[in-house]
Amino acid sequence: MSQPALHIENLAVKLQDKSILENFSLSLNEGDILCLLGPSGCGKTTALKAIAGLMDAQQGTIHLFDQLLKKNSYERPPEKRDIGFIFQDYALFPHMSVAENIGFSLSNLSKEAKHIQIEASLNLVDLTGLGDRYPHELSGGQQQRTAVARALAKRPKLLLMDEPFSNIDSQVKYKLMAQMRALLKQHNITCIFVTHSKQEAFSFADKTAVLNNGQIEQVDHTQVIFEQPINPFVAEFMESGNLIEAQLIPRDLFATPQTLDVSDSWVLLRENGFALSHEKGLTGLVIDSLYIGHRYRNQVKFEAFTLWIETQTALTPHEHIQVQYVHEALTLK
Amino acid sequence: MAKSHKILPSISLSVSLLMFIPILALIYQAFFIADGNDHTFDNILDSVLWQYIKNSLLVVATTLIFACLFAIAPAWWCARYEFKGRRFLQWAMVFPLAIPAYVSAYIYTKALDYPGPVQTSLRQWFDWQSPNDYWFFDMRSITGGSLMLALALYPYIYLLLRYGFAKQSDHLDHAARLLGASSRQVFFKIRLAMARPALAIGCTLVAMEALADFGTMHLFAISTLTTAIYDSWLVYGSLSTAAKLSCLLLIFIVTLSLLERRQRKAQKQYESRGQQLLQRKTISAKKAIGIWLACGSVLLLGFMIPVAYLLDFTFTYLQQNWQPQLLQHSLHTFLLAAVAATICMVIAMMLNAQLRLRPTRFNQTQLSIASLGYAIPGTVLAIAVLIPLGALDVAIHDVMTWANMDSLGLIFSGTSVALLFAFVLRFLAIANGSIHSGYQQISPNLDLAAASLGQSHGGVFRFIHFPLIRPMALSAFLLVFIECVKELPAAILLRPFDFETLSTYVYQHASDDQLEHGALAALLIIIVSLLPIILLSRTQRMS
Repeated sequence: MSQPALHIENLAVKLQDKSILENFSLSLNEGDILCLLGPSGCGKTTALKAIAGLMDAQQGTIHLFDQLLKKNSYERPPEKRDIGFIFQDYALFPHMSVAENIGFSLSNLSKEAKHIQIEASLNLVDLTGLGDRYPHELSGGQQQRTAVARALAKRPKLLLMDEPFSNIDSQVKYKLMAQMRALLKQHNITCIFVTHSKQEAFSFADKTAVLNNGQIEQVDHTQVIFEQPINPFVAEFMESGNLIEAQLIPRDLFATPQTLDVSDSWVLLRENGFALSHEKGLTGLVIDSLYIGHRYRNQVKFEAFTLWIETQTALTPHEHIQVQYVHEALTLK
Repeated sequence: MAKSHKILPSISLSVSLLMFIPILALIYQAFFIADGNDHTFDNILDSVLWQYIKNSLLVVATTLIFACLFAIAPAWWCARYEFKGRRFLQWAMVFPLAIPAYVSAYIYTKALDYPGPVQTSLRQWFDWQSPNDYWFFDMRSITGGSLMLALALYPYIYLLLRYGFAKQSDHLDHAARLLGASSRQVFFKIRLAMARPALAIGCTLVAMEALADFGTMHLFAISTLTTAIYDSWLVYGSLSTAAKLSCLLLIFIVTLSLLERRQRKAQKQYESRGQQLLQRKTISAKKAIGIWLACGSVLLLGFMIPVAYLLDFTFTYLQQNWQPQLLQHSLHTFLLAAVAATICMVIAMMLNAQLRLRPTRFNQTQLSIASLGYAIPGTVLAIAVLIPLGALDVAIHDVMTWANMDSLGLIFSGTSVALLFAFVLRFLAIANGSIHSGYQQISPNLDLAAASLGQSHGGVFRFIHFPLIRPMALSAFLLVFIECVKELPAAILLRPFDFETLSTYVYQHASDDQLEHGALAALLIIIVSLLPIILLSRTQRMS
């Protein structure tokens, strides 16, 4: 395997003796898009700022390709890191036009070369002809694309995005995400973006790192994170399925015998892993049945717990049903 | 309730019309009426008008240069850095706003004149014998007068700029750094460039005040447009000339005020919508001492020296200061100011309630017309008020004569009614501003909620709006009250015979070269003016 694009080892950030980030280690290949996912206040934005050099980290090493960004007390200044940053509020300079914003980092180019580069950038993000506008004259999506064009104009080796989609209407959000992802893939840009929405991770990222209290709980391909969460926190945050205390589950729920470690652990049961049956399984009472597009999500109450179960057809509330779990159950500690 | 639907609109319409009449009268008088002294204006036009305009513009330019010098650096330091005593210093820098410029002008003239302590000590040290032996700065000059104005007016620029800096987002700083800018480039390309509208607003406000200044210029015998208006009426007795000069001055003022409005729009766009506001940087003790020294010397000149002199005057001439008529003048002033403030508050509440219930263009225009007065210099406004009220008095006199009854005298233009009218006209904008901002903080959904719970318009106002805007109404009252106490030129032109406000009383003493005996009254004005600054700093600290 070739050298990773970004390699972070044991990064730690403290603010007024409070640990914000700890043992933060990460490795990305060129062109990878990583989602840094976690609840608010878990240190996501701090991690981005520490990588960009906008915040001092007390410990750790950061390499970007063959460049050392940080080691011990050495911090490469942010303006020399080759990193593009997109802020949640985009941080467009309000007193400069779109073209001036994009050209901000191109002061070393000749006037003509600068103009060509700005036009190319505008073209890249579909803003051709809007270069003379001012940020307040743009829609939210156009502002975001300006921020992207500005960050990419100087061809950074790494792009960092802090909740870039949180200010965009949900109607256009996913379309924009698809466009942006295509753009990043086309130019093979390595990118880390921060969000608290797993839906955004699904639609945008190759890999996901789940962050909790300043520590990475799990980092892997997004599908693995969702289907094989490493602990109850990740499972709960990803909403991977029903999380039930192992000792509460009667064995006749399972279609095939399972070896469960009962002591002090949790079992994850996927919502689409159940089958209705008439003679076997566990009996429960249907509380409610909701249509969620091509299938139904039902709330079913059993003696010791309540489960969410997906079915192809609607169930009738107040009816008793018998269900079996037909998948491999996942035990989490 | 149907009745009140008709009463409120008609009252607010008549009020805003009443507010507009003096301006119309002024223009009418200037262009369509010829009085006996009409040659006065032609004389002025032929001889000194250009000199007046030149002086006015020179005063404005010089004042702006000094004011920027006093304001810009302190605004940046107080917005950007954290150091010992920063909270106090930040507010103390506004104190000079409380000192009337003519009071400082008088005091510095005393201090720096030939017989004053500074030149006397210099002569003793260097053994100079006569004024021919050395050069010394002449206070009674355009530069001196502008310096006095700048010391009293720089807080406008300081406050707006500090607010402008504080509202800038930290993200912009970070974005610029990541795009390769050095911290020096960040200051000039981002920080200062973005504060430009705030600076421009502050400068236009200072320019308007400097253009309209009467006290300092008149004291120093510098002829500007404003002092010329005063002279044409009180010295030459030509109302038309005064009206013509007023219109000329208004052209400058309107231009400035349009400029200000444009900049305010720009400023709004520059304010950060994100939550990441500028973070203060903690600085070393050495730098903090430097900041304190720089800001302290501005405060020394603008506040401490004048106040120290006034205290000294008061105690040295305690008997002359402690006069029974001072009590009487204070009572008059406070009563007049309280009545004017109450009227302003009530009118502002009516106009704003009307706009809230029916947010039409027409009602918006009414509110804007009622707020015009603030931009108009006191001198111009006084002339504008005199014209219709004088005409009204003449009409009443004619009717009385026709009916063979005793004349009532000048019941409008010659009594405090004129002064009251001028005060309300000039300061209604302040009350409107306060109450309007109060209304903007009340969600329109509250009105809908109250209406859906069965309240009529009147009920919505009584139970929802009034309790919520009460604090803003109070601050409106207070602000108008203080402005009325401080207002000089309108009071000088309109006060009835033998009637003094605190300001005219102090000014009279200053122009008679006897401020020593009016020092206590000046201190009273300063104390009253400091009130809103202290209140404002309190509320800011709480939020």
